[in-house]
Order: sequence, then C-alpha cells, then structure tokens
Amino acid sequence: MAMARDAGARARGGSRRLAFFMAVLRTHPSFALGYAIVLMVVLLAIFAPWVAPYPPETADPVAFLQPPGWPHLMGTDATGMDIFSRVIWAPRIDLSIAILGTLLSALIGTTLGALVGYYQSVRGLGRFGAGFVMRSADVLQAFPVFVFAIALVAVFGQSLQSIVLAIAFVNAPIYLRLMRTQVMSIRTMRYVEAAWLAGMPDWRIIARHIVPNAMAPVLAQLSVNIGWSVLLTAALSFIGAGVKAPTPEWGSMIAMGYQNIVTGHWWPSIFPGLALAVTVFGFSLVGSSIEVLSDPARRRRLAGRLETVRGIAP
Amino acid sequence: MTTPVLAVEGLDVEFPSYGEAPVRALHGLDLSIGEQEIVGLVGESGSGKTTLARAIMQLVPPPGRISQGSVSFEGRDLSKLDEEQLRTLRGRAMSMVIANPRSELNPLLTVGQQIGNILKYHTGCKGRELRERVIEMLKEVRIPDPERRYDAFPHELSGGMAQRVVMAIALICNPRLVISDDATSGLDVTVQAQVLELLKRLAERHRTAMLFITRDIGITAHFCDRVAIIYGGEIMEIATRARFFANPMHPYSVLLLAAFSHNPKLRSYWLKEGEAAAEARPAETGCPFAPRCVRVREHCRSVHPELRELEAGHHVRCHFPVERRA
Repeated sequence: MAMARDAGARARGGSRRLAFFMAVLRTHPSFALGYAIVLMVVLLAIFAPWVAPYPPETADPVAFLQPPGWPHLMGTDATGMDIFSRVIWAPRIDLSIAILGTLLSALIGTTLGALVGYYQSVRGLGRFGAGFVMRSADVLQAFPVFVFAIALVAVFGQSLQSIVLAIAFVNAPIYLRLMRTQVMSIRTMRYVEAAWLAGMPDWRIIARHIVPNAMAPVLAQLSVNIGWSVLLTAALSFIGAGVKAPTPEWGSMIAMGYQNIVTGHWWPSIFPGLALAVTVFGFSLVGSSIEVLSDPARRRRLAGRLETVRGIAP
Repeated sequence: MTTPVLAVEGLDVEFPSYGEAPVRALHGLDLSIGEQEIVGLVGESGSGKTTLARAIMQLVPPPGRISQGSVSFEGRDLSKLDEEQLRTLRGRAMSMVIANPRSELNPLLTVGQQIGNILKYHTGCKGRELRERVIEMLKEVRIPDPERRYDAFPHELSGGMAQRVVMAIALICNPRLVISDDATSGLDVTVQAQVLELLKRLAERHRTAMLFITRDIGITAHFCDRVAIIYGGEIMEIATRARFFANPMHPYSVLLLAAFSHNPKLRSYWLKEGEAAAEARPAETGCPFAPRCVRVREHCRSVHPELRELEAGHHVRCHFPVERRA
C-alpha cells in the first residue's frame, strides 16, 4: 500500500515531491521558519556589500555609541562603526568558517566511520585499526568541546584556518560514530552480500552500496552542526581566540560591546547576539526537518496525515 | 569425459566452536557438475546447502574455513588462485542468485544501474552499449516494458519482478555456472513456477551449468538433470532425476518424498519420528541420519556409511538402502 504510493510519487516526478515539501512547510511553520532564517542569513552573507549601508570596518570617530535610529539602524559601537552593517557582514566569516569546518569534520568522520564500520569485524589489522580509531575518538570527546577548541587554536596559532581545523576536529567524532553504527547495520544487508558474491572489490561496495545508504542521518546532523559551529566560532572570537577585531564577526562584536552595557549602551552587544541566536536556531530547525523527512517511516506517516487533512501526498 | 565445470572433492568446511571441537558444516563432500548440467541440491536448514554455495565461491563466512578438499572450476583449483583472480571469476564466470530478492537490491540505485554495474566492472562495457545490453537482458528475463523499468527503483518492483532482476544480474556476464541458493523461496507458488521455467530456459540459452539449491524436493522433480540430497553436511544420495524419483534408496530421501505424499500409510510409517526427532542433530559417529531414521539398526550408530554406487549413476550413503517395492 505504502509501497504503491511511493512508486506513484516517483513516477509522477519531482514536481510532486516539491508539492509535498511545500505542504510539509505549510503544516509545519517551525520548519518553514528554519528554512526562511537560513535562506535569509545566506543571502545576506552573499549580498552584504550591496545591502550594508556603511563599510563594515570603517570607523566614524565622531559618531560613536550612537543609539539605534537613523541613519544607524542599530546604532554605532564605541569606535563609531555601524552595527547594522557589521551584523550583515558577519555571516560571511561566521558561516564560511562553520560550513567549511563542519564539511571537513563530516568528510573525515564519515570516511573513517565507514572504514571502521566495514572492517572492524575483520581480524587482525581491521580490528586493531578500528579499536585505535574509536579509542582516539573517545579521547577527543572526553574533553569539553570548548576547552578543546581553545587548546587547538592555541596549538595551531590564531588564524581562520586553525578555527576551521578546530571545528573539524571537535566534530569529527560525532560523524565517526554516526557513520560507524549505520555501516555496521548496512553491511549485513543482502545487497551488500550480493555485491560481494558478484566479485566487487571492497572499495566499490563501500562507495556504491554502503555509504549512500548511510548518509541520511549524516545530512540531518550537518545542518544542526553548522549551527553549533557558528556558535563555537563566535564563542572563540568572544574570548579572543578566534577572529580578531575589526573584522566583522558576531562573537567579537559582542566582546567589543559588552563593557558598554553597564553604562546603558546595550546595542553594540545585543544586536549581534540576537543575530547569532536566530541563526543557530534556524539551522537546528532545518536539521530537525531533515531528520523527519529523511526517515522513510516518519515521512510516510506525515504523508498519510497530509493526505487525510488536505489531499496532498508525496 | 571432458572436464566438468565444477568439481568439488572431499570438501570439509569447519567453524571453530570456542573451546570445543570445531563444528563440521561440510564433511568429505564430493560433487561435480558437467557442462550445461542442472544439479538440484536438496536439504533442510542447517544441512550445509548455503555453506557449500559459499565454499564454491571461496567465500566461506569467517571464522569458518575450508579445512580439506578442493573446489575446481573448469579444471582450475580455486584455492590456488589469489583474491584478485577470484574476483574476476565471481559474478562473471560463476554467479549466485540468493533468496529474498527485494533485499538483495540496493534501494538507492535503479535496476539498470545495478545490472549495468556488474557488466561494467567485469567487462568494461559502457555508454550506450551498456544500456542496450542491460535492456536486452531485461527483455530476456521477461520484464515488461524494459526501457521504462531500466530507471525503476527496487521498491517499485513486485517480488517476482525483483527476482527476475536478480537473475538478470546473475546472468548478464554469461557465466559458466550459476548457483541458485533457495532463490524462489520467498515467492508465491504461481510466480515461483514462472521464475523456475524462465531460469531453466535461460540456463539452456546461455549454456550455463547450474547448482540449484532448494529445500523443496518437489521443485527438483521437473527441473534438474540430477538430484543430490544433503544431510548433516554430507551427500546422502545422488542420482539422475529419473532414477532418483523412480527409486529413491536413502531413508532420508524417502522421508522427504513421503512428506509430500497423500498416502496416509506411507506418511505415518516414514514420518513417525515425531517432533523431538526432527530436532535431533546429525550424529557425530556412525551415520549422521541415524538419530532420525525409522529403520536404524545398531550398525548404523557405530559405522559411518560410504557413498556407494548401487545402480549406474546412482550413489547412496546408507548401510541398508530402501528397496523398491514391487
């Protein structure tokens, strides 16, 4: 029954799937909000030079600590830089670091996880190697994420690359474990056995049959993780271990502004803080929507509900 | 006589059983399959059917291992080949069809990709030619509308169609030997009959020899050239189909046949072993079937019977073979 419905969906093509997606967004406003936030942040990052009214790193020494209003929508900071422009420029740095770092960690984590999951039951080198990788991951995860990230930046030196590397290192064990458990269950599937019996070499079986079938939860994790990584980048910058002023970056902007809060000048910190919170929130909403949509059972239940409610099915 | 396609000689497969003596899944198994011959191998769960299939492919699931004997494929001893050479044989010269076809297909790849992958990997064929050959194969396994099915995903196929796709995968490289391991067990009886018919025709057309493993002795009756009965990892009886069904001599063979019989006398005599006996494990000493045999004698429990040729081409492993009733 459900099978027939899926088959029908495939035959009727992509527009039907798009309709299903739109229907899910309509019935789940939180998912729609998530996608809207992420889309907006990404667009702002791309079009910052055209949207921002002022250059982000140029101070106007006369107009310092101006309250929000006109012409400075979010006011100016203690050095006289326009906060609105800087908030808009910031995702260029924050998102780039977070996305790069997360992709890198996913690449390292999933590759190792796939290998460990596939080879860990092989005696000798396979089992030894798998044990080594997993225990190393235990060690990495034993440290509090933030402390570990600070330590890595301290070791690699303070630069954009080292923040990216720190994010990659801190997150890689998550993907490693996720992929490993996925691969462990998929490698017992009959189609993997069949490929093996058909004389396929291991790398081909991993690349063609195992990894594609294991990717769904990784994709959901990616989105959530980008959100966390933005937070981590900002946190590193806040304590001065990340991006340095005057480069526009939410964390360092909060750090630059927080001394002024006691004197009633709240805007240099609050606006970048809000932007940061909203962005992280958006990514985690997108992550949970991917989680729902990539689980066939939950998707089917959702489709069933939509069908009874408004006659829309995938 | 020409070299058989497959010759299994004195094959032992062992699984270590921690601390105890290893479990012997196969014991001194001999079997040969000639050109274009279809040999039916019948046995119940745990009799070593699948282990034999895996041993032939040199892929006994670890920690099991081949401890004795040899498998020769077209005169080549497979244990002397390295992994690389074996891989070029598997899927190309000898392929396997296993049960439960739907789970045997990768849910994320289309039918065309899955069949094509094997061909591409083994022959390097690609592009339009690849597509044409795959569609040709889909036609051969009687998949309706092959052009469209080429792009179908496994979940869009019925069980019978998925089984045909799996057969197409097994046959695409024109193998010399196809091992079918319980391939039709998950299908409806009517679909099963169609699939078997097709498999037989394809084997003839591609001049493929076949080892047809099944738990259903009825299937072998109209399908196989020879029938072999396996119990406890040993061949109990092997004969041409005609001789086997005309004159089954091993008590186990007769038991299997009696289980299908409508004759209540026959059934009650041969099947009186009861449920407890059905769970008995094959004996370690003497005849493996002795614990379940209705005609067991003292001799059977202590002396292991040899496979004897009692008629031309009819071998039986029993001290006291069943005699034909007049």
